[in-house]
Amino acid sequence: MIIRWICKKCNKKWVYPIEECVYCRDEGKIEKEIGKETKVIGFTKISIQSPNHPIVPYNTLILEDEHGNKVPKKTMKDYKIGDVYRFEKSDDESAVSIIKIKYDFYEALKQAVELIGGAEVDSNSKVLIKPNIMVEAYSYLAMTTNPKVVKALIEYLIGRGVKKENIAIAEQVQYGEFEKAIKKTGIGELAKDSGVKLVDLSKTEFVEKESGGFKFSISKEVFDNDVIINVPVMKTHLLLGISGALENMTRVISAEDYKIIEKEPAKAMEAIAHLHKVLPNYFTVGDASIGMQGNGPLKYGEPAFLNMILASKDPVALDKVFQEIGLLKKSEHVETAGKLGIGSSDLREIVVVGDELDACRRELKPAIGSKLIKLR
Amino acid sequence: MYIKGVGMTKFSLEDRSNYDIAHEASLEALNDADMSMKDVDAVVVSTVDTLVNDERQRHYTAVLSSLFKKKVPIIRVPAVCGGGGAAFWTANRLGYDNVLVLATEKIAGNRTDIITNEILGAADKVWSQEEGLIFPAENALLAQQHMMQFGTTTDDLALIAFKNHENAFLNPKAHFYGKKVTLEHIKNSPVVASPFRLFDCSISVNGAAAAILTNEKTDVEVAGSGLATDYLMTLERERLTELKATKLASQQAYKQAKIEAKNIDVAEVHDAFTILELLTYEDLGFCAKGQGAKLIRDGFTKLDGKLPVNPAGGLKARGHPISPTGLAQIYEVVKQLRGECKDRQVSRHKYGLTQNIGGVGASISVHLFKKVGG
Repeated sequence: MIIRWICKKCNKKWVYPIEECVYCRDEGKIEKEIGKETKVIGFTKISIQSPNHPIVPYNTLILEDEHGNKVPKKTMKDYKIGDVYRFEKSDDESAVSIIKIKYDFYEALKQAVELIGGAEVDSNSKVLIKPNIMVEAYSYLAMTTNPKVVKALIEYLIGRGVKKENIAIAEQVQYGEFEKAIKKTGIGELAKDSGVKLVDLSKTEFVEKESGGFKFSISKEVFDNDVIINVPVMKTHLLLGISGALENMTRVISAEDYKIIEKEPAKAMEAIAHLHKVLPNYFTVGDASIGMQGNGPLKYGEPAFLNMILASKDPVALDKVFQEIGLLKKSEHVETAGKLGIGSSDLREIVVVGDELDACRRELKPAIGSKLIKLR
Repeated sequence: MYIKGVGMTKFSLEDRSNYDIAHEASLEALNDADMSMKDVDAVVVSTVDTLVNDERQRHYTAVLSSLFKKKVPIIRVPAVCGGGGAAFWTANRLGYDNVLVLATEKIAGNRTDIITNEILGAADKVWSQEEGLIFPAENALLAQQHMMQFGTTTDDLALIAFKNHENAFLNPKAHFYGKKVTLEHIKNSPVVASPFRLFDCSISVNGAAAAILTNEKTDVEVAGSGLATDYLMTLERERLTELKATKLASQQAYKQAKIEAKNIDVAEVHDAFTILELLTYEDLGFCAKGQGAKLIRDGFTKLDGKLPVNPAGGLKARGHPISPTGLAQIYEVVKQLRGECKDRQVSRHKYGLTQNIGGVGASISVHLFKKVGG
């Protein structure tokens, strides 16, 4: 997708969004110009490695749309001049979409979601959005979900007919207080501006569920909504390897249950997988707009600046794809969830749509810990 | 303004400290001008602060204050690979009696992939860097467009590389000085970003270069000085087969000097990649658009041609230390106009031109120099 922001008065274009034309000022209206079809007008095959492009050879194409707008596009496939370039959709249950964000979070999210069949919502749907607000932290540190992604999701849902009063953002803060965390992450202000509800899951009613010998008290909110959209921030994790879709849903269980899991990391891997046996199905939008690498998931991790959004109906597949993007080692909880049939952890069975997996791979720093670092 | 003195280190992979090479280039320029640092009223410096070595220093102006024991205005003008030219353009307008212009860089100090990534930082991030458009690739795409539109070939580009290696062979300050490179070697080098081979690309080196500008009449006058800036993202521009900023900067310089492209006797242009030299022939007006390949095929720009281009070996074979390149070009043109270049001395040398590019044609300066009394 090629996006330009164009002043409708003077026709000047920008490659990023601006509020007002610096020539026409308030007389010029800025609109998005999005091409419908892109064709290959040039290409180069690159054999030199660089840190963010470690797999060679790869191709970078010049794509041009019907407006004459041009962008580069990385691909591992060979194209000819004149070929049409497009992303294919997939209805596969384990399909994962990867979209590189080009300044516009809304378009990236919409494309990521629609490539895998779109969110199944209508004007009567009650939707629960579950971001990661586990800690009181500024979102630029990537410990928590980027509010820009949540904002894009709310806009997308409203665009699909969902009433804002039927949308709730819900979380249980693990380290700190709910009110302080939503303020610091920016989610509180977003909810207020968007007119959607905020729910502190710790203050909700819990229901008991059991699977694989594990007992879970799960917030009733999870069962009272028609659609759950999980919006984890994609991170490296000292105990789990990675923290993404599967881990983010652990904060729908009671804090007491969570502490038991946290105290026994060996069991945590299995518990996270079993929790998903008793949770309703959900849709995941993985926030890798910044993302975390190194000794995550908290303050010892560092921003990865991935600039991507992932989406899938299969949380296991989504986590697996993130692990593969970052060239990270397997995570046991993801593999266990795969074995339990929660989703697919076998890359050969996962259909990746949108940006190509191999074209997105880059070596993220793994969480390896040190003598100086504990979890927090 | 006039040029009072020039200096530069040999461009090489030698592991010397940044202050050391800055000192050497500055001292040579002072000696060339027959003056001391006491008479310098201001300093303009260009350097990028890369992470490729352990000498990263953001506050380079203060480093120079200490090195030169001067408390005069010291201004930093970074413009990535176009830094030397941009610093010179700035110094030319400051109004001081004597200004030292200096560029210094220690870029060759890490693995190639790390250096490649650091240089990539001068490109658009979201649309280009993330799509793997490293600098050789971005320039290769321009070459492919020129080939498709005008029939330019990889052999034409190889001739540019060969010419510049032949010239560098004669230049003691060049990285490839005394090193013979054959046309076969160039044509058989590995492909790095199709259609570019390794020898279509300049080599990253360390080095420093300096010039002293003065308002006192000397033997070389700065006859024209132009600077233009274009969009960071190459694919945002109107045409992919020209560098518009070269046209705009050269128009300013020609107008100031009251000359045309046909009056130029010698030129040092920014051949970070072979296609850039070819585009520059066209954009400076040495030939019509699309005719650049004919100039190189006909030997027009060889050392003994009608308009020698890159007699010092260009970035291709003198080496490209980022910011110092623009001042190294000026060093060469001044020496050529004075007739001091021995084996690589061009025959006609009244007007010389330098063209220095930052990024993929984003920050371009063009300077014209005139031999006074020649």
